[in-house]
Amino acid sequence: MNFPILSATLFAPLVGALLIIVIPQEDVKTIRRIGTAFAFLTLILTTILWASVAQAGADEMQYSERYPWIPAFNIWYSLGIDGLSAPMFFLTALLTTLSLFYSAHTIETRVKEYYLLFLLLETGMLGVFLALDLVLFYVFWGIGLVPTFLLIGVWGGERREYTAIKSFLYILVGSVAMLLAILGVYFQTRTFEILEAAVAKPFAGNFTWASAAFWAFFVAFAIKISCFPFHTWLPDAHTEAPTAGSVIMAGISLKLGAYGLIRIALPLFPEPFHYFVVDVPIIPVMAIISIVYGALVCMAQWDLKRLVAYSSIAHMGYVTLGVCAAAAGIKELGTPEVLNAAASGLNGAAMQMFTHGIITGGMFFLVGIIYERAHTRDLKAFGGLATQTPYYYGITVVTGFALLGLPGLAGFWSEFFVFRGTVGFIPVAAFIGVLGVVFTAACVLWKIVQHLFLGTLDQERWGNLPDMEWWERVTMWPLVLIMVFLGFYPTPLLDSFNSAITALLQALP
Amino acid sequence: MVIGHWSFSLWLLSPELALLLAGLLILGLDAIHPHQEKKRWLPYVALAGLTGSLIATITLWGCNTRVLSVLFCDPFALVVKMIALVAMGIVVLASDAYIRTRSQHQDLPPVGRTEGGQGEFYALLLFSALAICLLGGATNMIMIFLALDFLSITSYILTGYLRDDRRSTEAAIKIFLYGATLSAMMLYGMSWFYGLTGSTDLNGIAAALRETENTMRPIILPALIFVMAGFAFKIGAVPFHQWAPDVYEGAPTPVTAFLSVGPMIGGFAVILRVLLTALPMDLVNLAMDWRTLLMAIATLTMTVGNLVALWQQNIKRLLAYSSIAQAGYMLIGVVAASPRGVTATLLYLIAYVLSNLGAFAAVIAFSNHTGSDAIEDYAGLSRRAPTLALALIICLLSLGGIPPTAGFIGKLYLFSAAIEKGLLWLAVVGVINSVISLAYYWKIIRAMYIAPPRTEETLRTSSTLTVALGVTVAGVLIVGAFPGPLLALIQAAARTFFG
Amino acid sequence: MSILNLAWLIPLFPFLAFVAISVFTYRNRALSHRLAIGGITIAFVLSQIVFWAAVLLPVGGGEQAYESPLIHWLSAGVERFTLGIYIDPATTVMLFMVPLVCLMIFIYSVGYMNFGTPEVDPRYSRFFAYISLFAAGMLGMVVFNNLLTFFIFWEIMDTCSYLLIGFWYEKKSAYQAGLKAFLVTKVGDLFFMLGLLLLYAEVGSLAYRDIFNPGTLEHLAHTPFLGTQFSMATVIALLLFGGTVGKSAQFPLHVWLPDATESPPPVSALIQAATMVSAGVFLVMRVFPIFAVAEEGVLAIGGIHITIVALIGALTAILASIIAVAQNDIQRVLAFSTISQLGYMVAAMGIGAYVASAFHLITHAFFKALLFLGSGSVIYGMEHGHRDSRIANCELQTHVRAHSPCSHPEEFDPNDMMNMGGLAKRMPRTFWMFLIGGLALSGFPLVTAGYWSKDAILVQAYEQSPAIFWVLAVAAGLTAFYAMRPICMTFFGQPRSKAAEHAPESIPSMTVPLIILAVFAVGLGWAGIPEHFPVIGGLIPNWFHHFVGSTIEAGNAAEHVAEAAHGFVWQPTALWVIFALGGMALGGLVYGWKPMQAGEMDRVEAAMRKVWLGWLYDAMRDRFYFDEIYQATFGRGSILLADLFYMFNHGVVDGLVNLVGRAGRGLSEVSDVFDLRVVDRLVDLTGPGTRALSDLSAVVDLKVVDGAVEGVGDTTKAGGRFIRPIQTGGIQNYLLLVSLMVLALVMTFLMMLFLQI
Repeated sequence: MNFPILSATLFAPLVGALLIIVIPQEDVKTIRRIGTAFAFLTLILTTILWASVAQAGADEMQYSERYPWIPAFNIWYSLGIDGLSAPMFFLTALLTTLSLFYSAHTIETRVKEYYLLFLLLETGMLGVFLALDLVLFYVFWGIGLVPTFLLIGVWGGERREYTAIKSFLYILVGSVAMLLAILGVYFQTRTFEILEAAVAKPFAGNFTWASAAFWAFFVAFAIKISCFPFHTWLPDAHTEAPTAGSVIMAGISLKLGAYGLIRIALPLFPEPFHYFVVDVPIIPVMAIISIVYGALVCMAQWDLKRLVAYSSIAHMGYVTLGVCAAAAGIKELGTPEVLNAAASGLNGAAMQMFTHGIITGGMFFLVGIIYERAHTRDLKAFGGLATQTPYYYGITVVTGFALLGLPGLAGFWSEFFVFRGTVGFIPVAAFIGVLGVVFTAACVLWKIVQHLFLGTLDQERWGNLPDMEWWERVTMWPLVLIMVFLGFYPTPLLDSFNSAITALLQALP
Repeated sequence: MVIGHWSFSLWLLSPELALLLAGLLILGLDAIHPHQEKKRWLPYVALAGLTGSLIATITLWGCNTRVLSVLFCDPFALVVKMIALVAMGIVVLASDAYIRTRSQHQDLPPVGRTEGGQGEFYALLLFSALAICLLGGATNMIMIFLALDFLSITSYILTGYLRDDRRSTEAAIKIFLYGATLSAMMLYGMSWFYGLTGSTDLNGIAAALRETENTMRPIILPALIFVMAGFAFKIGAVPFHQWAPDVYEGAPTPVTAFLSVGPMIGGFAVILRVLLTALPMDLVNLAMDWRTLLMAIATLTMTVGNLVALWQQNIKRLLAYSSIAQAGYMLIGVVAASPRGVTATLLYLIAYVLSNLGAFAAVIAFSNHTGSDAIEDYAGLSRRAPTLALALIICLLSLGGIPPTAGFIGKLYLFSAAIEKGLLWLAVVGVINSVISLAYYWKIIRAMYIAPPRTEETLRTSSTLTVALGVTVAGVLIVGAFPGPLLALIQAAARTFFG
Repeated sequence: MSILNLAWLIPLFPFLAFVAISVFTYRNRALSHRLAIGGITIAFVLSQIVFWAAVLLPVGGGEQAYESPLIHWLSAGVERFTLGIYIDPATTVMLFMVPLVCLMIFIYSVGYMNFGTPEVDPRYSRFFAYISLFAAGMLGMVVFNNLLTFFIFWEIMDTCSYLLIGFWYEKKSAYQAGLKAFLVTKVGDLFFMLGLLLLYAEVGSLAYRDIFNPGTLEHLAHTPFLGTQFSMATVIALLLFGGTVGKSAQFPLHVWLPDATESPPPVSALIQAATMVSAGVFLVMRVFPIFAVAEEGVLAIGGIHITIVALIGALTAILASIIAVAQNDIQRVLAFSTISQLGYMVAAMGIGAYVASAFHLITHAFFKALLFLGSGSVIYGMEHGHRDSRIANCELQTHVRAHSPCSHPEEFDPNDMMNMGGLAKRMPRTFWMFLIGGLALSGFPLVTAGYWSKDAILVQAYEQSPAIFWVLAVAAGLTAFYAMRPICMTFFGQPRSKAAEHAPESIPSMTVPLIILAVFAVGLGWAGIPEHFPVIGGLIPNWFHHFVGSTIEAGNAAEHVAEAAHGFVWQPTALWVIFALGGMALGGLVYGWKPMQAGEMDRVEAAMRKVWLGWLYDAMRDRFYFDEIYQATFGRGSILLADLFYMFNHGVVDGLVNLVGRAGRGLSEVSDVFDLRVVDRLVDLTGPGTRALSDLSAVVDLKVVDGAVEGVGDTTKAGGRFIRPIQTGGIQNYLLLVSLMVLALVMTFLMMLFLQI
C-alpha cells in the first residue's frame, strides 16, 4: 500500500482548520496566513494529482484507496480520482485558495470562525469529488451543508437569516431523498460502491422503482444545480452570501450536483434517464426552460449580484442539457457516431462545470470588488466607470465576454459541445436552447458592461473611486489567464474529461 | 468466558451489586459527614461505583445465561448496562457543579436550596442506574414491573429534588401521578398476560401463545396495549408524552438530563425484550399486530414531537419535544423487528444518549452561569463561549442526523432497517421529520452564531462540565467516524433475540 | 515542410501585438502603435510570401489545396478534431487583400487619431490594441482548416466591432450602435452556429477537406432533414447563410451597419471593407460546395433556396442604394453603398457566379477602404477647420469631443455633407483619391477595377436569371448617382460652413495610404479581364478567373458554377454601362452643374416633394423605419418578456416554496395549540369523569406516603399547596386523558382486529 495521497490532499484543509482552532481568536494575522497556506498547499497537491492522472491515463480510477469503514454494512472508505473528477478537484482547491486570499483583505469580523468554516467546507467539497462509495459521497455532501449556510448567515447581506435557513432546508430535502435512494440501491445491489452498483444496475427489472430511485437522486442533484423549477433558493443564497461565499457556492457547490448527475444518476439509472429524456422528455424541457428562462430573468435584474446569480441558472441548464444528450444516446452507444455525440454532450456538461466555475467565480469576485468600493450593486447608479477604473473595466469585460460564451474564451466550449451533442438527438432542444445565448449576451453587454462602464461618469459621486488593488488583481489574473488559455487551447482539460467520460459511456450498456 | 454454574450467579450480578454498594456507601458517608462544603469528593465516589460496575459488566461479556430465574445475563443485557452506566457517569459529571452551587450557597433564596441533599442525589442516580441495569436483563413480567417502578420512584424523587422550588415540586407531582397511573395500567395488563398464559416469564408466555395463538389473539391485544402504555410512558411516546415538557422544564436541569436518557434506555430495553421474546416473529399475527400498533405510535411520536418543538422558546422544553421525536425514530427500529432493526435502535439509542447529554451539559453550563433557559438568551454564545457553542452545535447536528456524527450513522441504520423490511413510507416519514427537526435545531444555532450577543461577558465552564462535554462530543464524533467496533458489539447484542 | 506553413504565423503577430499593448505597453502610445503596425507588417510580409508561393505552386481547391501538418485539438468520444492551416485559391486571394488594406488603415489611423498632437485620443493605445485583434481575427478566420476556427475568429471580430463601434462610449449613440451591431450579428451567428452543429453532427468533422469530399457532399445532399423533404445540405446551407446575412448586413439584418459609422472612420474602413463584412461573403465562398449540392440535392426546394440567396442579395442591393440616395451623412452614404455592393456579391453567389463574386469582393475591399479613408480625411479636415474657426467655448473639450459633436447647443456635425463644399481646392490630394474611389464604386468603364468585377457579375446574371440582372443594373445606376452626389456636394462649389472654409489638407501619414489604395482600386481590375473582351481581351490573361475558379473546378461542385461566358456577349455590358453612365451623368447634373448653396434643400428631396413624394423621401431618409420596427418588436419584446418571467419567478415559483415553509410553521402552531389546549378542553368537558378517578388518586396518595421512605413525605404537602393554583386540575386531566387514550387505543385496535378476522 503506497502513500495515500488522496486522503492526504482531502484532509489537508481539515488539518489547517484544526490548527486554526488552537490559535487565539485575536491573532488574526496568523489565522489568515495558516488558512491561506493550507488552501494553497491543497492547491499544489491537487495540481500535481491532476497532472499525474492525465499522464497515467485519465480513463480509469487512479490512486484508489479502499479501506473497510463500516464492514457490518459493507460501507467502504473508498476514494479514487479520474479524468472527470481531477479537474473539478483542482478547481475546488483553486477557488478556495483565491477566496481565502481575497478574504484576507476583506473579511474583518470573526476571522477565526470564517477560516475554520471555509477549510471545513473545502474538505467536504473535495470529498464529494473523490468518494466512490455512495454513503461516503453522502457524508461529504452533508459536511459541506452547514458551513455554507453559516457563511451566509453570519457574513451575509441583509436578508441573510431568511436566506440561510431557506436554502439549507431546501437542499436538505433533496439530500434526504437521495439518502433513501442510496439505501434502496444498497438493498438492490448489496453494495454502496458507485462503480459496482453501476454494473449491477439497481432495479433493472422493475421500472417503477427504478424511476422512483432515479428521481430521488435527480431531484437532489437538480436542487443543487438549481435547475428549473428547483432554482429559487439560488438567487437569494448567491446574492446574500459574502463575496467569497458566492464564489464557492457558484463555483463548486453547484457542480457537486452536476457531478452527481454524471457520476451517479446516469450510470446507475440509464433506463429511467433515457425514458424521461426521450419518451417523456421532462428533463430536457426543464433544462431548456432553465436556459432560456434563466437568461431572460437575468435580463430583468438591476442588482448586479442577483443578475450574475440568475445567469448561473441559465448556465447550469446547459449542464443538464448536455447530460440529457448523453442519456438520449444511451441505447445505441455501440455505433461510434452516437458514442461521439453522447460524449460531446457530457464533455460539454463537464466543460461547463469547470469553466462556469472559473468564469462565474471571477464574476462574483468582480461584483464584490465594486461593492466594496461603491457600497451599492444597483446598476442604475453607475455609468462611465471605464474611464475612472480602466483596469477593472478590462478585467470585467473579458470575464463578461467569457460569461456570454464568446468563442476564444473558455465559456464557448461548453455551449458548443453541449449543443453539438444535443443537436443530433434532440434538435428542437438545441434550436430553442441557442436563444439563451443571445439573451445572455444582451444581458451581459447591455446590463453589466453598458450600465457600469459606458456613458458619462457621475463625477461628484464616483469621481474618486479607486481602481483594483494589487490583491484583487492577483485574485483575478489566474482566472482570466485560464479563461483565455482554455478559450484557444481547451485540449488538456477536454482530453482529461473526454477519456474519463468515454470510458464511463463505454462501460454503460 | 463461560459461566454456567449456579454458584456463579452472584458473580453474574456484580454490576448491580457494585452500584448498590456505591449508593449505600454514599448515603452513609453523606450522613456521617455534616459539612456540605467538604463533600466535593461525593461525585467521584459515585463515578467510582459506576466505573466498577462498568468494569464488572465488561468482564461478564460473552456470558449468556439465566440468573435467579428472573434475570438474563446476555449480550443484550450487558450492552444496555454499558449504555446506562456510561450515561449515568456523564450525568454525574454534568451535575456536580449544579448541585454544589445549589447546596453550598446558603445565601441563596430558599428557592433551589437543599439541606444536605448532595449524597442523596448521587445515591439516587446510582439506584436508578441499578434499576436500568435490572431492566436490561429482566425476563419476567414481575421483575420488569418492579424494576420499572424502582426507576420511576427514583425519578420522582430526583425531579422534586429542589424541594423549595415550586416548579421542581410541581414537576415531581406531575410525573409521579402520571407515572403511577400508567404503571397501574401496566400491572393490570401484565395480570391479563398471566391469566391468559399462566406464566409471567417471557419465554413461558411465548410458549403458551404458540400453542393457542389465534384463539388468544382478541384478548392478548388489549393486554398488550395496557403493558405498552406503561412502556410508552417511559420513552415519552405519543400519546403518553404530555408529562415530558412540563417535567423537563420544571425539574433541575441535571435531572432533566437524566430523565431524557435514563427512562429512555430502560424503556427501550424492556420494549425490545418483551416484544421480541414474548411475542416473537414466529407468532405471525400477534407480531403483525404489535408492529402495526408501534408503526402508528412511531409516526405520531415523530411528527407531533417535531412539529410542536418548532414552536418552543425554552430550550429545555424544546429538547423535551425533540426527545419525544427521537423516541419516535428509535421505534422505527423496533417496528422493523429484525436484527438490523434492533441494531439500529441500540445504535441510535447510543447516539441519542451521547448527543442529548452533550446538549444538556451545554444547557447546564449555560444556566449555571446565566440562570436562563430561554433560547433568545443564547444569542451570540459563539462569541461568549466558542467552545461551548461548538460542542452544542455538534450535538444538535448529531440529533438532526447531519454527517459525520453518530446521529447520522444511527439514522442511516434506522432507515435502512425500515427499507429492508419494505417499510419505505416509514422511512420517508422519518427523513421528512429529520428535516423538520433541523429547522428548530437551526433556531438554536442561529441564536448562537448569527444573532448579535446581548452582553460581551464570556462564560466559564466548570471543569467537570467540560469533561462531560468533551466526552460526549468526542463520543458523537468518534461513533460518527468509526462506528465499526461499536457496531460489532451491538450486533452481538441484537443477535440475542434472533437465534 | 512547405513554405506555406508560414501561414500559421500570419494571425499570430497581430494577436501578440494586441496582447502586448493591452497588458504591457498601454501607457506608451508610440510603442503601442509601433507594435500594432509592426505586427500587421509582419503579417503582410508573410502573407505576401504565402500568396506568391501559392500562386506559383499553384494550389487548387479540394485535393489540390494545401493542408498543413495537423495538431491534435479537440476530442469527443473516440473522434479527434485536428487543427491545421488550409491554403486554396480562395484563401490566397484573401491573404493578398486583407493584410494590405489593414496595413494601410493602421498607418492612416496614426494620423487620424492625432498622434503627437495635444489632442491625441486618450484611449489611443487601446484603439490600436483593438484593431490589431480585429486584423488577427480576420486573418485567423482565413488561414485555418476548419469551419470551427472560422466561427471562433468570426465571433472575435464581432467583439472587436462591438468594442470599436462603441469606442467613444461617452456618446450614447456610439455605445448603442456597438451593442446593436453585436446583437444583430449575433442573431445571424446563431443560425451559423446551428448550421455548424448540424454539419458537425452529420459529418463528424468540420475540416474543409472532409466536408468537401464528394462522398460527404452526396450524403448531405441525400439525407432528409428530420423527415422533411428538405435535404440536410439545404438546411445546413440556409443556416450558414443566416450567418452571412447577419455579418454582411443583408436584408433583413442590415440595420446594424449604418450605425457602425459611429466608430472612428478608420474602423469603418476596417469593418466595411477589409474584414467584417467581407467575412460574410467569404463564408459563402468557403462553403460554396454545400450550396452547390444543396441546390441539386432536392431540385424542387433546393432551387428555391439558391434563389433565396440571389433574391436577398438583389433585394439588399436595390434597397440599400435607394436609401443611400437620401442620406446626408457622408459616412452613411458609403455605409449603404457597402450594403448594396455586398448585395451584389451575395446575389452573384446566389446565381453561382462564384468567381465574379470573389473578384468583386476583392476589388470592393480596396475602393471601399479608399472611400472611407477619404471621407475620414474630409471629416478630419472639417473638424480641424471647425476647431480653428469656432469661438472659444469648445476649446477645453477633449479630442473625443472634437471627433464627436460638442454637447452644447449649437452642435456641429462634421459628417454632414450639407456643411461641406468646395473642399477640392482646400484638400486636393484627398479630392483626387476620393474621386477615383467614387468612380470605381460606380463602375466607370474600363479604367476602374470596380467596372471589371461588376461587369463579371452582371454578365453572368444576364445568362443565369434576367430578373436579377435587371435589378442589379438599376442598382448600378443608382449607385453611380449616389456616388457622384457626395463627390459633388463635398468638393465642388463654395464652402457651406466656416469649417469647410478653414479645413486643412490631411497629413501625409493619412494621404499616402489613400494613394496606395487608389492604385489598387484601378490596377486590380486588370487581373480579371475576360479573354473574349474586345480589343484588350486576352492582352492580359484572365488570371483571377483561372486561379480562383480552380478552387471549385477541383471540387465536384464545378458543374454548379456558372461558367464565364464563352465568347463575348455585348448586351449585358452595354445595358448596365448605360445605366451606370446615366447615373453618373444625372448625379453630376443635379449636384455638380450648379453646386448647392448653404441652407439649400437637397435637390432630390426638393424634386420629390414637388411631385408629392415627400413621404417616400422621408421613408428613404429614415431607412424605411426598419430600426424603429425592430426596436418596437424585438427590443421591447424581449425586455418585456424578461420582466414578465421575473415576476412569475418571484411571485409563483418562489411563492410556492415559501408557502411550503409557512405551511410547516402553521401546522406546527396548530399542533402546538392542539397539544396544549384542545386536549385539555376535551378533558374538561368530561368533568364528571374526574370524580371516577378520585379513588384512584386515593390509592396514589397511599403509595406516595409509603413510598416516600427517603423523606420526601413533605413533598406532597409542598406540592399539594401548588397543585390547585398552578394546575387548575391539570393532573387529573392528564390522568383522565391517559386512561382515555388507552381506551381509545384498545377500541380502535379491537376494531382493526375484527375487521381483519
